[in-house]
Amino acid sequence: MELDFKVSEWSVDFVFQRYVQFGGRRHPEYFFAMITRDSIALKCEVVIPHPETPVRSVLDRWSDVGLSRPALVVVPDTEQDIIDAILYAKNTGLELIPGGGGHGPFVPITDKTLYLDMKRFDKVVLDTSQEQARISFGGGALTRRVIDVCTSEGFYTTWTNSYGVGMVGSVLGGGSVSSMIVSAKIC
Amino acid sequence: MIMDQLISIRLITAAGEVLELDSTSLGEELGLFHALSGAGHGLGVVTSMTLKAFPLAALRMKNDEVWCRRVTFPADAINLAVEKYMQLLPPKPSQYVLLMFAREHVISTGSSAPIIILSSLYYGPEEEGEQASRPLFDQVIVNNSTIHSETVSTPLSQMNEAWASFSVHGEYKDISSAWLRTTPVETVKASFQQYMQFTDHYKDATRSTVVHATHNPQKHVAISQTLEGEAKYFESRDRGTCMLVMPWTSNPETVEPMRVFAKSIKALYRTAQPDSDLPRTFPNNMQADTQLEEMHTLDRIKELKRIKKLWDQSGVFWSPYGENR
Repeated sequence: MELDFKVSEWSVDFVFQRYVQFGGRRHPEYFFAMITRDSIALKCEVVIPHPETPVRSVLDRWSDVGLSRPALVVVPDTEQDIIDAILYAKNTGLELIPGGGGHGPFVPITDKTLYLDMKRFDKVVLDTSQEQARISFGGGALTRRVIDVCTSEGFYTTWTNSYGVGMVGSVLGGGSVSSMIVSAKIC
Repeated sequence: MIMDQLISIRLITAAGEVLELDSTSLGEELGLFHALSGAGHGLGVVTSMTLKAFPLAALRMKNDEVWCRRVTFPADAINLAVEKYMQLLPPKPSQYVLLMFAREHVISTGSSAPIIILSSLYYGPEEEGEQASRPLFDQVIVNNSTIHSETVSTPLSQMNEAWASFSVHGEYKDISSAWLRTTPVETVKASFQQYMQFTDHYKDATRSTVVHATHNPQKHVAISQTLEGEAKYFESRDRGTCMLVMPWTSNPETVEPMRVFAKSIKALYRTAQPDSDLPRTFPNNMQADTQLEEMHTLDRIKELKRIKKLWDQSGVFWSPYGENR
């Protein structure tokens, strides 16, 4: 599939700085690309896998079932990056899949996928100032972090039995079995 | 379920709009909030979520530890294992009973002999846990040298350690499940036979497991009778057991046989359910070929497709409810 972007000389230098800044992996299979203002500006990290790159080097998911190389991986820092990525996917006919913990083997990742890696949205905050305590977490937060933040303050909520499952994904898909007991105690 | 603790969601839609949704949202936004509670794949990009949290002290667990009585049976003690499992049912409200088929090396550096692990977990005072787990202290277990039994207390914060080895990334793993009202003795024994046959035949799949996770559905039925509980997208509140098949292989050629195995176990249990029970699973455990009718009622499928079309006209987000399914 043709990707409609240009990499000017200026962009390559800028890209290299970002590459170093993010401690990028030093593999010849990767290159970071800045999509210039001629199309949509994506200011965040973008990885376009080389056709020969093994998918495991591009994506780190729980299971290899149903997994093949995505068209590109976008790692947003801000909500604007996500909005830009959605627009980019629409314009190029790609299907956008947000990834949290990577534990959903039923999510089909193909060469028409724009994989939105939510790992930078990992903030977890416990607020016990109100009568009902609440735990807030970002789209890429993992179960482990939510467990640690809650229990270190003497609180709990319901979560799945795996540290690596993304909290958001587990809620969107119906929760989990291990949360049944704790859930029943609360209500 | 986790969704019953959901307070709010912050979401970016296909149109690039940022929405803050909660139970006070109105009209279509409220409908979207409910769909996100259990059938939320592909409706937007969630940037943040807020759940209710509760003081650990309210669970009244000694040292905030979950109490557990665990008994590991060799394969030839399957009859006794199933008998003890049945004696623990229905579980008490704070009790969680797990019956697991595995091969020994999954829990220790042993052989790959098939084993049955029966655990009774209690999220409350120790004395109540012991009382609820009486059958697991019987002489027939304690006096048998081939059966290993132990009582363990684990801080709630560390309960996931036991599953850490299943969480490693890589290789071919899957999870499929069936919500069941009943687990008859003969069906459980027959499924153990199938499990042994599958893992005996496919030596690269000996880390596969089958887990029957049983809780008391009473409180969950009560939740479903509230307006808010009823609005969430979850259909199996009145079924006490989730039977999970978790095949695992390092060999891509075993992926198709492992799918066949999982389907076969699910079908075995489903023929043993009342005729009026529709087959049920939930989205997190779906397969590529799972029919929507297995996860949601027909009315809800219609509604989810409508919601999908409304909030993502062009279908930019992958979804089980999109037009191409």
